[in-house]
Amino acid sequence: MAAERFDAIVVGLGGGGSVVAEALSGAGWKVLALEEGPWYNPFRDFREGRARRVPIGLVYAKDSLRPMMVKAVGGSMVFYAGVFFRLHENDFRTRSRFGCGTDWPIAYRELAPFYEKVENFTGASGSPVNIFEAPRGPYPNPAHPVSKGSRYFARGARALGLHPAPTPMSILSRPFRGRPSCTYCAKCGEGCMVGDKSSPEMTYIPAAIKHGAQIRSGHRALAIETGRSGRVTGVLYRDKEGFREKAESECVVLCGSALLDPALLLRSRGPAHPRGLGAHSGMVGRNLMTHVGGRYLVRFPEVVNGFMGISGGVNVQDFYDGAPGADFRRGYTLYVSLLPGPPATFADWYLESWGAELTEVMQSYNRMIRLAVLGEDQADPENRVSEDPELKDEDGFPRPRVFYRRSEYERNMFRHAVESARKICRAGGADDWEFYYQDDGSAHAMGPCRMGDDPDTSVVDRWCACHDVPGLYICDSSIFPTSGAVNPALTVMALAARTADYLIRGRQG
Amino acid sequence: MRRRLFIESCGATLTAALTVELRAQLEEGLPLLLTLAEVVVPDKDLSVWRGGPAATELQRAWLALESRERLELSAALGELEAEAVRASEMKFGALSLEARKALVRGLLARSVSFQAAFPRFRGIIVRSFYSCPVGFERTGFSTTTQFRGYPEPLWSAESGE
Repeated sequence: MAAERFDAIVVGLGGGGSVVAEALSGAGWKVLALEEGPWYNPFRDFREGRARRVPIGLVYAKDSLRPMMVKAVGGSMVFYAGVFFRLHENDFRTRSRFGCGTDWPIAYRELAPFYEKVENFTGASGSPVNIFEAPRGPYPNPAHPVSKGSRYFARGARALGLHPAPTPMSILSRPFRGRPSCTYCAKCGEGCMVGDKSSPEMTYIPAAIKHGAQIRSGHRALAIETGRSGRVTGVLYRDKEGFREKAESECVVLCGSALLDPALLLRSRGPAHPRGLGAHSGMVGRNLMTHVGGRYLVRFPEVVNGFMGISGGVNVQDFYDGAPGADFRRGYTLYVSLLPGPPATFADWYLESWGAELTEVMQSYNRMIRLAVLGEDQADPENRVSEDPELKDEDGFPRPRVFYRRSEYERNMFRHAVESARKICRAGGADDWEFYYQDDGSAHAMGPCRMGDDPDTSVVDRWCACHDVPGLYICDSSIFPTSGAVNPALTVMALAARTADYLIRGRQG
Repeated sequence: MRRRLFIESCGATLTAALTVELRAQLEEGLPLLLTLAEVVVPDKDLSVWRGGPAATELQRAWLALESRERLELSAALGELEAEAVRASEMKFGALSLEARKALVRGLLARSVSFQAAFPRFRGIIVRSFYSCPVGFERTGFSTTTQFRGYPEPLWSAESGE
């Protein structure tokens, strides 16, 4: 049987893949989207607790942090908190302005229209009052109301002369395009069962299907195939039943996540690419970043119910571009996040104590808030995703092996962030009681197929096109040259929207 | 017909006997686990782990364990009991709360197998306590699904924006 032929094949249906699938199919392209993970029905699977996260098959090297991701139609965003920041202008110019990291080949102004496009499509909620962001227009929906814990935090920040602002969210603050507004049930992390969280399975994927895109869950891309000329010719995949099939296309958009893309590229060897795709520079898999991330718990004298509502709340970005006297050049965001709940989960997963020590912490449960730290990581070529030399996956391919180790630079930044959080909360009226987790590595993996103008030091160009492989594009957080200090979801989607726009314009001539 | 009734009644008796035996096997270790629970999550209301809702929840969790895991944990509980008898010639459950705590600490410092089992004990005990009404009451947790909204927005109330 002849292989099916498509105008474009999207591999991986997270934030990036869903945007590309929607845009290309909306422009009349025949699109196939392959996703290895399951396709949840939010109103059934999440409400009935049927959603089970699929193992991702990574091997973590000894002493490595463990950045995470989720396989599903909708990707990690299905279970994410919904925080929806843009990068700052300076994030694109860290080398030239701060002497660290690397400059992106594009500037903020080139991405800004696509940030806006994604925000408008998803119904982002926010208020353009953050003085550290580039000037911007209004959000399509107003900022969410602010919780009691966030009020304390904001009060403390103002008392110290800082500039708190509401955190932008991809959670609806009012009904939008047929979807309801948030009920503040606090179950975003289990998958939104109301439909107000604008993750791809509620937004871009239904739109892509409407445009005619073929979405296939449970289908694993085994290799991206190339011809003698080196150009992409299609994708070899394993279908739900376990049969190997091939789909043909001269355009493949890889959106499989920073942790899985390198392995797929490296195993996709062909006559013109004996070491794998994009591999000539040796940069595939290198410079893996994960935000300097950690959680800090603080207690207030009165009930704040930090387990209710949404993550995000209020944020402070005064230390985003560094801090006076600090021994790091870039910085971090602090924001009020949702306290893990319910109490059984919190006590079991987040605490290790027992006896009176445990019950004392738990007695403060409804008076605590959780602060999230998100700091810019500095890329290190030694932090990487590679092929495990011994362990194979179920298809006989080497399993992706993750090695990531923090430097003293990042540890200093985390200490500084916790100290700032402490000062702000004390100024806001917090007790002298506190509890924090060490930096545990965030869920945000970025960087191992970095974007750049120089093919010798990067994997993709400014349009997310692979330098070495005509027809291959990468649209996920793999391509971030620097991590910034905000959640990457919106930037991934904006980059994907920009690349889709480039492809469509290219075809139109 | 009489033969059929006889066979059926034999079957029912056998099933009932097996069920009682199986249940006894399954519940073996449970009393000791409940006395350990009093140490892991101590509460001012002593009846919580003595037939109260947390005890019921813990029994349910214990019975829901896979048999292999339950066997492993039973062995660790046996170790705890043996240590109590060795150290004080008393059963673990007969010791005071403070003495039980000291015994658990001592065993955690010495025994690799007990060290390995303890996080599992802790997990099911903690989950049992904080999943039931008494746990909600101690933490001030109220179910979030009835949440009606936040207080009025800060941005209009305080910053004037």
